[in-house]
Amino acid sequence: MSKPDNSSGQSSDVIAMIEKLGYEKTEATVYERGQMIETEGSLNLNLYLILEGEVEMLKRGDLDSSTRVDVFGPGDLLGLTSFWSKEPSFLESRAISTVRCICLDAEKIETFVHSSPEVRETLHRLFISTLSRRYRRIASLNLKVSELSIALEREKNDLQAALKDLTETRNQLIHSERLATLGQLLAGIAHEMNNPVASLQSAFGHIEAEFPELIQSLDPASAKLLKAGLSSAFVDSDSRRQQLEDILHKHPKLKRSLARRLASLPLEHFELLCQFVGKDMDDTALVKALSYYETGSDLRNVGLSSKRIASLIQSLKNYARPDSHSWETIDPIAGIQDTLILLNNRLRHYKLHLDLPSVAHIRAIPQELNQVWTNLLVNACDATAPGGDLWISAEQIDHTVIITFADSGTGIDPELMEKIYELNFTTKKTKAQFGLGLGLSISKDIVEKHRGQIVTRNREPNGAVFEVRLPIQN
Amino acid sequence: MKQIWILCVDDEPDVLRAVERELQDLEDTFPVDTAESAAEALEAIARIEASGDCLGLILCDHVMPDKNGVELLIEMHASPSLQKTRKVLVTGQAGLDATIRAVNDSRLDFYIAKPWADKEIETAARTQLTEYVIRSGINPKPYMKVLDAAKLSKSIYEDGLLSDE
Repeated sequence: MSKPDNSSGQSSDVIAMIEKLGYEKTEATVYERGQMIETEGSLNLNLYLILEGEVEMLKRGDLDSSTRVDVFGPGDLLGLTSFWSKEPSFLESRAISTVRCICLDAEKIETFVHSSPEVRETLHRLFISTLSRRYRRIASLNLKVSELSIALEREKNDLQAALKDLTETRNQLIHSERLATLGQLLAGIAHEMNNPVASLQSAFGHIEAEFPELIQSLDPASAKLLKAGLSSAFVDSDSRRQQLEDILHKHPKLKRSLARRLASLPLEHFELLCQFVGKDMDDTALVKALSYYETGSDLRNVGLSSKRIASLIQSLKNYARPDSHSWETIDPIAGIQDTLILLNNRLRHYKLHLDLPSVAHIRAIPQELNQVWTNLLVNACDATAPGGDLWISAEQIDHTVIITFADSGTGIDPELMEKIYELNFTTKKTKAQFGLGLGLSISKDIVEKHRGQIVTRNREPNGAVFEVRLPIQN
Repeated sequence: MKQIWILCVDDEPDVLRAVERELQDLEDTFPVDTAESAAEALEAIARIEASGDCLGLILCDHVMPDKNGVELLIEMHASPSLQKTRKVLVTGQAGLDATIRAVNDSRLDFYIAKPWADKEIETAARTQLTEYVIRSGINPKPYMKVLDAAKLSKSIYEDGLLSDE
């Protein structure tokens, strides 16, 4: 609190005057330190002219606390407003040090006022200076309140911004954590499946080689059928239907199920089988012949399927690689192809146009780039209705490799072009989406980490194009 | 005599073959046709109806390019001649929403998850075709051997369809 505004000049006048009128300094009332002079809410019948010491003005607050509102010192008049207004005291006064003051009651003041014009005027000046001092004090306090409010508002805004930042960072961390966990799981599954698949492929390789020889030694004629089955080719539905009708036409007594099985054979194998069975198409002979043939084609199926699984697992292992986040020199096309294999389930609804020539190897963190490819491909699928087109191409210009993803989907609203890379921006409304709107933002971070850039534009007549440009660092 | 057909629909040829094989023992009584897309399926249905036969059972995959299985079934259900056809989804990938739609909007009769257990498709086909024969009011006698004879007999008894033939 500020020190009392000492109107000592005027007070010494008054003191001089009071002394003139017969008051001695010794007739002053004394208050000890801590003593209450006027209490809040009481009726005040006196003016107190402070000669020595300091008095604090207090306002009672909640819970027995008081706030110091002002401090008066020598020359100040205490109780001015409550004396004249005759209303209960708004504040209370307490001596901070030993206080000597002259107590003037209504009678005494009357006397002074009527004693001489000089005295009257001095008294009036004292009243007014006291009041104006208080008024200045109020003004400066209000100014202070206003400054504090502005500072508070600024502080509040800073805190809100900080909170928003933290929330976004937290989301990003959660997302990274999820991805890391998924990566671990994927890698784990891939490794678990690796052994049985390797075993499967090895065993199949042996069977493919040995089994026909085994049959050959038992039944050479049938072995021929088995071997034919091993190399059986695919026959499309329309041809099959046609063939079925032909067979039923030629052999109306034939069981339909047998006819259907026959119709699945490519032409040369069909003829081979007919030779084997003979013209009358005896049921038993037919069943036996078909069994050999179909065992051959089933074996072929096992081989193809296990190759497919092995390839998926390899792609998974290449993709995930959670152990190392280190820089390697890689062929970017390989990563794209692995990603395409892994996303096949989604991609098969679209017409895929690939143009992936060999390009230079680049320095990169492979699984991070894979994340970018995945993100861009998934976005393209989300934006494009099934049956639409997806183009993925690569080219090398000087020391830059450019990978382009284009789709024939809904395109990007030109006004949102800038915003799509922002954290938490998403136009995906379905709740099935795993996305938090972080995909493009993270992809951009990754590409920039690789010292590259992502460029976006819309495509005519419809759809969007995302270009990822990566420098070849030797 | 009117033939009762079975139609298998799946966009993956390997799976289609596998489903067909499951139906081998039924094929001599209930001819089988196949399709690799919803469009092909509708063509097959048109052929069956044009020849004066009826479609007793459809075994349909869900995830297919263009129109998916559930959409096909719903479309079929809107056609009066196909409402009695027994509808079975054979799929690994129909989510809950699609399945609910299939049940509610196409009156799906059965759901088989891929990969299916041994004989699961054959058993389901027999059960469904038995239902079809009963509900269509077709003379069940030719089918007693191949379908659920006990059930067919019961329905004959209950509906008083026993004749003096």
